[in-house]
Formats: sequence, C-alpha cells, structure tokens
Amino acid sequence: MSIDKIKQKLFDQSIKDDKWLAEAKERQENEAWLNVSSAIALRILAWLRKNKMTQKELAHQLGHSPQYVNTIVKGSENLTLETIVKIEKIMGIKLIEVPPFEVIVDSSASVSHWEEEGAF
Amino acid sequence: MRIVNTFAIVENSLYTVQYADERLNEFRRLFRLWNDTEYLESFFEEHKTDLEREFWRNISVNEAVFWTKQEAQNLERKLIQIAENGKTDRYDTLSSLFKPLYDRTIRIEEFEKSKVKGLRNPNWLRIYAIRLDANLFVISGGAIKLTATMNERPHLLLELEKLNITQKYLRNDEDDVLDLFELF
Repeated sequence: MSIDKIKQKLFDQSIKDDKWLAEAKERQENEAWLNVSSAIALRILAWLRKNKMTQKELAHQLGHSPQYVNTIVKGSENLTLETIVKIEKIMGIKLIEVPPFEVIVDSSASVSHWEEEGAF
Repeated sequence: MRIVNTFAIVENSLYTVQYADERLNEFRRLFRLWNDTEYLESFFEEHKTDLEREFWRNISVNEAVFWTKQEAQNLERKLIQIAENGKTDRYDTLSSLFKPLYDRTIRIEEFEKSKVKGLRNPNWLRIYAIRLDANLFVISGGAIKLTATMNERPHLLLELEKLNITQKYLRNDEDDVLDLFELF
C-alpha cells in the first residue's frame, strides 16, 4: 500500500478524540489546587507505606469508600477541610498549616473611639 | 498486544493508537498517568536507584512527582500548539519536536520510529511515535526513561515492542521482526 493510501486510511478510519482537550484544559485551570491536593496525597501515601496501612483500611476508618480514598491519593480530589482534619486525626500528622494570626495593634488608635461607636 | 483503534488527537496531524488491553488511547492514558500522584510516587519509589543516579542530581521522589506533572503539562501544551501550527506553517511542524528514535540516524526512513522528549533538559519524559510525514505522527506509547538506554528496563522494552506493533499496523505487513536489543 502506498504511503498516501496509508495516510488516507488513517484519516478515514480514526475516531476523533474530543475528550482529551477538555481533560487538558481542566488540569490547567485547576492547577493551583491540584498541586495542593497532590502534596497532601504524597504525605498520605508516605504515611500509609510507613505504617503498613492499606487504602481500604484508611477508607474504613474515615467512613468513606475505598474509591474515594483512591481519588485522594491520586491527587485529584478537591478535599474539604472536614476530610483533611479527619485524616490528620487518624494519622496524627499535619497535612496543611494555616499561618498563625498576627494581631496588629495600632498604638495611635484610641479605645474611646470604639466605645463611642458602641462597638463594645 | 493488539491495536483495536486509532484516534485523531489533532486531525490530519497527531494520531494515537489504542491497545486491546487498555481502556484509553495512548495519548490520553499517558497524560492521565503523568498527572496521577499515586502512580508517579509508586513508579519513582520502584525506580529509586535509577533516580538516585548523579545524572538526576539526587532529586527526591516527591520532587520527581511534582517535576513530572509540571513537565507533562508543558509537553501537552507544546504538542498541541505545534500540531495545529504545522498544518499551515511548514517550518513549525511536529518534526521539530519529534526526533528519530535512534540518535545516530542520518536519513529518515518511511515509518521512522520517533521520540519526543520533555521540553526541559535533561528530561525523563518520552513519547514514542511512528512518523508518516513532517507533520503527521502516530503515537504508540510513552514512558519515564531514567536509564541511558531502553534495553535496561522492562517498561522501556515494552515501549519498543509497541513501536514495532504500531509500525507493523500502519504498514499492514505480516513481518514480525522485533529489534528489541539495539542500543540507542
């Protein structure tokens, strides 16, 4: 078969994959939180390996399905704070940190100003 | 291993195959894998000794996972951009990205076995394809290549086999010659 015929056969018989572009765009648009999700997944995977616990056992302790835990360790789950804290409690490790509050005291501000506003 | 379908990723330009034992075509399968933290962590743990070679500058498993994800996204973007450009610009075709599989190739043959590396250098991402024209390639697979040659690891030998299968499928010939033990 000539190369031109082979090319034409490829063009004619191939199925148009119209799903990859949506997948690629989704990955790009969600890159920021997917990176956080992936960092959490890596910590969970390391802990599971170190403590010889299976994803199924973790799922049982979490009260979720093994499929859900698998999505978490793939780094593709947009986790809720509730789930993160649950996992932290089971594992006894921190998965995310929130910076401590910084109370900025403005010494020039007068307390009486707030009192006048009825803030207290 | 048998090809059951071919898919157009970018029509008239970038194609890929689907094997009988896979749910997805190779292009989508690869980019899903290269964005899958669980798969990447397991792969780099398994190939830790390859990763710890001086060539890769003692990168950790966690760093390797993040680096791979980043590089995969860059490569995906670039492939699509060039595949589109190559339809109208004959100087910006997929051939500028895909190189012959064998580094010392002087003359490009019909159905040339080809590879594209990740964009930053050095890079362990590889996509393998058969060249049909300057801007027409059929992806047979891809891999993370941490060793100097493809003959050193089973998952890379499998990619050589897939290149042969795709080449044979496109040629539609009956020869079954596997040149698995060449060095490049």
